[in-house]
Amino acid sequence: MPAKCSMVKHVEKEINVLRAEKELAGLAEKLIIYRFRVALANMTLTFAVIGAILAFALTLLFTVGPPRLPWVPAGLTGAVGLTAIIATFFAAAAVLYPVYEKSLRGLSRLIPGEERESLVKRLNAAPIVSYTVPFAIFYLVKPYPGWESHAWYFALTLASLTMYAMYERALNSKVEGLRLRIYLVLTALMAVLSPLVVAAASAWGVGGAVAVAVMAFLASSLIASLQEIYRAEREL
Amino acid sequence: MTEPYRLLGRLDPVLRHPTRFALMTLLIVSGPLTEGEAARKLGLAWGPLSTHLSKLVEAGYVEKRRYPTLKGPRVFLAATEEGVKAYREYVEALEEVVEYARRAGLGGQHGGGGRPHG
Repeated sequence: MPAKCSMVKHVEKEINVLRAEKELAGLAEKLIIYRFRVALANMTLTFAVIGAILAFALTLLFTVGPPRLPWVPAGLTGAVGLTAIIATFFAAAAVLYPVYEKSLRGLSRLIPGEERESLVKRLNAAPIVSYTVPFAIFYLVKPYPGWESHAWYFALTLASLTMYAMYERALNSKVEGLRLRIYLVLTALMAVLSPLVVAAASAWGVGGAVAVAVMAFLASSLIASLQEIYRAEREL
Repeated sequence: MTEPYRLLGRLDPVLRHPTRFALMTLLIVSGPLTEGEAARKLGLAWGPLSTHLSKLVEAGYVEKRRYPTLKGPRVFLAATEEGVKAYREYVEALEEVVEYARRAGLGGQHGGGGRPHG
């Protein structure tokens, strides 16, 4: 009897260690998912802010023209300003992309077996398709004068929808416990606000359309990113 | 009483050590780390780290890769594909063991219907 009792104690001790390991593995999985969601939301918001600044700067350049300073050659200030904004974009990408890429690599480890490689390839292709094809489509058509000043808004709405279809749904279906919703929310908000952009274009012209498009895009990105961070925090 | 031993026997002996399991978990969550970073994050001395690390390297679960950094080339520890697969299988097996223990009323320090101690 004492031998059996000691055996039970030994097994119980082992089980407690294993139970703690299981809890650690569960926590690690949650951390990986949390880090990915926050990195994605952070990147979306940062690029939205830089994109909005770029849209404003380009509109100013093409409507008002570059700032005229007597001691600086014409066009130089505009060129310097645009270069600075584009450099900011690349600097932000250089900082944020490795963080996002690392978090995606971590997340891919939660995907079982052979599906991982093909899914990662699809996930890498999704942004390339999403952020090129819609722009090509929307800049080929010209339904009314001044369209090109805010066509990017509709291109980004379609890009966000494509990201939802190709990226978000694929990830949610493959990673157990992941419930991304950032692109779905972003698409819905941008689509709901798009009539305002068209209305602003007909009421106030190019300047008004760009201002409303930038505000709608920033507000949508802010809400989509914050809800993702909030939900990630709650599910941690 | 043979069932728990059968289940425990299914667990990968390389990962069935809390330190090695913690080290693999850290490498999977954080990505490649230097030995110093791993030791600091796990609160381990160099000796035990080196012992457990060599077992993981021997099993092919962890590899040492040399990467260039701003401070010169550094050796980083990284979980291999084989290591990630073994880790996943180990966690799946753990779930079975813990579920069995819960049903059998074994253990109990972490809740889940276990037998109270004392």
